[in-house]
Amino acid sequence: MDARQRTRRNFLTALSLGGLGLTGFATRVRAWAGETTAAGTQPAATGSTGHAAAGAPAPVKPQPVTPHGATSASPATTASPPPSPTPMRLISNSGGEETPITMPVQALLRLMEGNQRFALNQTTTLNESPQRRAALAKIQAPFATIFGCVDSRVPPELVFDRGLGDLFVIRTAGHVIDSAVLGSLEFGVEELHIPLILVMGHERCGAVKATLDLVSKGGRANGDIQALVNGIRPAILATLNTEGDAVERAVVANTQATVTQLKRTPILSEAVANGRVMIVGGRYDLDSGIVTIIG
Amino acid sequence: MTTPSGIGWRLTVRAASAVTLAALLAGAAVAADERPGVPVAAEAAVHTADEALARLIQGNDRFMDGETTHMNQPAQRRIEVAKAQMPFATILCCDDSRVPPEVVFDRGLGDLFVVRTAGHVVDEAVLGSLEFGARELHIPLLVVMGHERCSTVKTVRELVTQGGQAPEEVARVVKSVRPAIVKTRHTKGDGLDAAVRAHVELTVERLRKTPSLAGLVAQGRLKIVGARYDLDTGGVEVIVP
Repeated sequence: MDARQRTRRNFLTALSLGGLGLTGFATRVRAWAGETTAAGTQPAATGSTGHAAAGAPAPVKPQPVTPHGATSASPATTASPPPSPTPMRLISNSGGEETPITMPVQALLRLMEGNQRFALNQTTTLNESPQRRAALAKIQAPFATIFGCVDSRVPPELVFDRGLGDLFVIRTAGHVIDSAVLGSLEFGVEELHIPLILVMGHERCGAVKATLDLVSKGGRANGDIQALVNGIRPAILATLNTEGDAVERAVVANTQATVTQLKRTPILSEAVANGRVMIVGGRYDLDSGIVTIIG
Repeated sequence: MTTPSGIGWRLTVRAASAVTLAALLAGAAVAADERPGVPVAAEAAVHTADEALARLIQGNDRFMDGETTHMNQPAQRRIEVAKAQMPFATILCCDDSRVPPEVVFDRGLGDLFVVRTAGHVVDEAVLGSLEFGARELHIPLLVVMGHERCSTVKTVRELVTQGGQAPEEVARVVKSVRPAIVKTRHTKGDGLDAAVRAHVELTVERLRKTPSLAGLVAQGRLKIVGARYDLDTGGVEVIVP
């Protein structure tokens, strides 16, 4: 048994040890989200199909998003061909097709699947080919927004093993919000109808550490770096006297604070309330390569 | 919140817990098995902006030809850079899903310091990030990269030419892109592409004049260039050397 097989076996053992049965769980989520019924050559299943698969009565259907970014037609017209341009399909490295994403939970699941491949060193070349590039040249339809750090060790496309056209990515140091960031996030929700925003902090974040040092010692940062300090300071103050690794505590608090802050903005809060978008926080572990959902 | 959404939330929380717990348990088992054929840090260190730019262009050539190496992407590299980062270039580019710098330049973990907003619009957190990269991490090169058919530039262009009122939330984005639209208003041919190029040029100009970066540029510690990514060919062209 070579190293990779061993790793894989250990990973699977860990899954069953967890007692949560990820595989079974993923199947349940897919069944609920209608992925099993939509698999194969069918285009995006409507929300109602998904609820029927889960045995739920489906009282109010959330507005799913078709792969080309427009709001889907009403149930009465779903049988008709989708409007032009032709819906794009995500092409896997094996030449197969992935099911289009219509709901936040599907997007999150797809991200987590990619991250597992990355952490296990079993990455694909998903969606990086010239063919994929040509298919996307005229229009984009990303399935998730990642708001993360500028750190060179945390590129979302690699960490989630995705390629061209998959992720709408906004990055500033310590994922500090400014009006350019906010405008970008809102553009993703309103214009591209992306169902998920993942705010991703990471272990040993240099911006958080620099702010921590500055807050502890007092003083001001150099030039425009002060804007970052102002953005991260609340998380530092909130965790100043807690036990454990100070940087680690502040990283988690900073991500959670960013999620809270985004949920309070007028446009995003409305989109969250309507179920059009879900905003979650994550933490990337530089050692293991694993992204953990933290709120 | 509607019932389906409620289910969604519960499922999500459980999905997250399941993945997290399993992942944490598996964390210790993740081995850094080296994959043959994937280069890891076999290169000389980059010291100058010109070296950095040459390395980016080499990577982009590989990407254009569909001959990517996935340089520095395996787990071995992750472990190497886990304690410290030493990126050789900063890329300020658009959040468009079709323009991921790591893919476009065929680079991996620890190589590129990447700042992204819609239409590479600069505001205080973006500026702070750029200064952090140059001053604290001593990155010698900053590339401002616009791209063909940028929907942010397109949206602002429509707004400016049709005289509409921008929503308050995106006012900053509109304000930042507007000068490029105005400058190219009477350009013949592809007006959008002219605006994309002008927006890169004006952004580079503005960054070179920003006090916190201008000092570093004057000392020769930082070089700022402008580039345009072509969605069709996959090529990156330096348009502001």
